Amino acid sequence: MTDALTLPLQPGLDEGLLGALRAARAVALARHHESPVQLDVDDAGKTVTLTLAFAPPSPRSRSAWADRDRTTEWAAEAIALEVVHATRSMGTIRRAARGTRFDWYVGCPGTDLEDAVALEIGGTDAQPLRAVLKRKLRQLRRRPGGQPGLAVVVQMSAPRAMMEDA
Amino acid sequence: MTEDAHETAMAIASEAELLALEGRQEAGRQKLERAAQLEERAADAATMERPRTRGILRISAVSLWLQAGHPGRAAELATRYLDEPLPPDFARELDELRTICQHEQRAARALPAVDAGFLERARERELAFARGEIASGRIANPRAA
Repeated sequence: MTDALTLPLQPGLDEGLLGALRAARAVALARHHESPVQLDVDDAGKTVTLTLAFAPPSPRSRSAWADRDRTTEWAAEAIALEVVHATRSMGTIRRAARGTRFDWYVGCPGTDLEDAVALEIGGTDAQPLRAVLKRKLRQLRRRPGGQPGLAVVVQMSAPRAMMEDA
Repeated sequence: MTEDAHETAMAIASEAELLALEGRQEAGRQKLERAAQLEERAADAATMERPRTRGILRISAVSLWLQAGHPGRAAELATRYLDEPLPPDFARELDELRTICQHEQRAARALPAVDAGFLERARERELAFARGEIASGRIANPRAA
């Protein structure tokens, strides 16, 4: 699998955020798994399997990411961006403003904000994933109209992801 | 111009996010102020031919002022944008964001004043405690009544 968390594939990210996302992803996955781990992705009923490789987190990294909920959120963002790249060939364009109903604007290479897709991400350690997806879709459907939308939710314990257009 | 200002604003906002993650809220807030100024400039430069970009940048500029701890400024900016032609859905989003700004402005007035440096010193004390260093003495908040 192509490593989707790289600057060329994610124009909306910088090195600092990429590093933070990778670190959170490693800490959250290492709670339950050893690298590499198979991630089953339910893409509106169709299943795709991705391989996620990660370096075992150092004690320093575990300490920096000791806040479990925040780490799960950031890890879900990292994994969701990989899922979106693998299944839709899309990368980040920019982060959505706080107060909007989704997290990222994403798109295929060459697109910009005018054609961006609204991406909402949810993360959980072990909660039922379908319920999380339902909540995220409900939230996403209240965004400004005319804009395509996509929700991706990730469960670290299985690990498993679900996605659906909105 | 739009792209340059916007990209710089996003880079600075990203730095602010990492500072907030480290618990350095005040340093992050200053970065957010700069990002908000640049995003406002990018929003003003967005042309009518790109209505969604105009809407997205306007919402982003208001949101950044709010995150930077200036809900009053954010609400004023939202009001200015709402007087301009905008796609109805973006106008609705902006109006909702303005309501949040006004609510936060009222809530901020009710809070006791906290010196910015106080928060930094409290954070340093917290980190020292995590390292097992027990500091004595109170942390003064010069703005406290």
